[in-house]
Amino acid sequence: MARDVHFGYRRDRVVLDGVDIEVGAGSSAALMAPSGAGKSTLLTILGGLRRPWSGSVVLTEAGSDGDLRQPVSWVFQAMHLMGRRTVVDNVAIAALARGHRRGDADVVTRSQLSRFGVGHLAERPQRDLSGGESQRVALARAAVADPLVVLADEPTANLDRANADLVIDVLFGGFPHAALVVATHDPLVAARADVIYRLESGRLRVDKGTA
Amino acid sequence: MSGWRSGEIVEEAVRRLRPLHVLTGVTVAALCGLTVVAAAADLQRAADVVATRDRVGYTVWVVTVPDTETLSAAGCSDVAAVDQVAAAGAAYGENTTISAVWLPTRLDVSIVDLSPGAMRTWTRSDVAAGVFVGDELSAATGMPVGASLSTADGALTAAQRLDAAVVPGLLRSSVVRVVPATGVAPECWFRLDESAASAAADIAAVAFPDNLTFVARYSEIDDLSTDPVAVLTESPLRFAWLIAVAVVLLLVVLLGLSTRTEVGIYRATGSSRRDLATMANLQIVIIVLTGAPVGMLLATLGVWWFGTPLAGGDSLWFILQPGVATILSVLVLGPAVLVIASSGRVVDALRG
Repeated sequence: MARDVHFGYRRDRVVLDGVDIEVGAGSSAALMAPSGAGKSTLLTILGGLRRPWSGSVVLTEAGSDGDLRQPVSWVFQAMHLMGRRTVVDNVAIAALARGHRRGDADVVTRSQLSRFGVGHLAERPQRDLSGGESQRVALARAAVADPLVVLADEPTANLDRANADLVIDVLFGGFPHAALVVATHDPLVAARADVIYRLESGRLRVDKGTA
Repeated sequence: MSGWRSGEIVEEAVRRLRPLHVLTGVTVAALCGLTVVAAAADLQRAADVVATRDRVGYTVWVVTVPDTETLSAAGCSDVAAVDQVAAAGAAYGENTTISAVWLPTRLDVSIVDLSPGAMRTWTRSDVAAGVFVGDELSAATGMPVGASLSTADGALTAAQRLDAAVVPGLLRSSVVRVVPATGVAPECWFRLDESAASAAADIAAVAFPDNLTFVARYSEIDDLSTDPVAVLTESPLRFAWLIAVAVVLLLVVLLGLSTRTEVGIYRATGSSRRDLATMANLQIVIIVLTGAPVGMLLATLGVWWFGTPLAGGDSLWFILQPGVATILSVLVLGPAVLVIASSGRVVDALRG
């Protein structure tokens, strides 16, 4: 997925110093590191939101880096849902952006909302939902695109334990065919991943599993 | 990955409209309405200038001859048949005495010279025979210019209560008696369309080939501000629409900045920059084409209601022009401004 990636915000402060990471379809990886160590930065590079100083990122065999329209889905700590829009509207934009008609998008959206346990909330304004419900809506939105890669940045950071556990279940069970990369502080989240990477001094080392 | 379908993108552009979009639309309506009002104010001032010109006789040309000659009154009337001459006639004055009623004292007002002050109130259509108050008598007595002086017992009487502060010695005035087109007269007058002003001397020469004629405006106006064209071209209000455009674009910038995170969400969920730019275009079109016509229509109705002259399509187009320029400018610049203001690095938009 990523080879020898170098990146920093200033020339004298390297954040990623030759990072290699590979996550296959249907498998998962957790990125663990202290705050500010570069987890989110690495995710944004993997997702094409930032360009590395050097190195390469390949999302699919035929893909290229830097293009948001590659089949990457994001799950953010802040969820980034539109509060005044309904749940179904929030999720449908991912399907509509991929060329679905409104009716088809609606069907796909409701199906994913049901998969993630929030189908009954479809017509509610998003702002009325709890944090756990909102994060599941965000996961449903990520799933609508049928992504090859899912990048999740601290998806449980704003949730209580019960909701975090619920979200962890649907996160790791909801994308059986995608490569899932989760940046987290939460050891319980990391424990669910096939591989745990620790980011230290700009380099990744495998803490669990086989890279 | 085909991107948004056209029907869906239109619907989404509408669904994304927020109160700030509505506020922007209302502002567009108000500003476009103000451009109409500003243009109508200019038009009104120009119309006032034209009315003033007519009232003071700027467009009236007086034809005189040497003291030894007279003009045919019928010939004077015939000038009215010339193209762009609205009305024409003969005039002469009598060195007579009129009686002005000044309560409690009755005064005689002596006419000291010939001065066709009455022409100042003549209409384009016709001139009634009679005696009218001119500027001088008006200034001296406070009687309105154009007031008709009645004849009672053979004397001309101004039915006007005079200001007690007026000094009787100043009540010397000029009054002209307008006569029907018969006999001879020392002067002719004709009201000429201003666009044909340079032809005034030729008109007189052709109408009175046997006379040595002198032609002059009845009243000269030196002040440039009394030129109705200058009123329109020199008015600072003609730039009001540029201010309207600037204000609308400023609001569009605010609109864009306030939707940065939302745009980031769309980008992060697969929408292309092009699709988002299309949505921005559509939103600007919706805002402008719903707000501006409403504002301009209401303003035009208001202008009409309050009596600004809207004679003909030209004046209507004149007052609508700045609003149309505002609409076109915002339609051209607005989408680009909105796209620039609302876009940025997705990673920055979604931070936190």
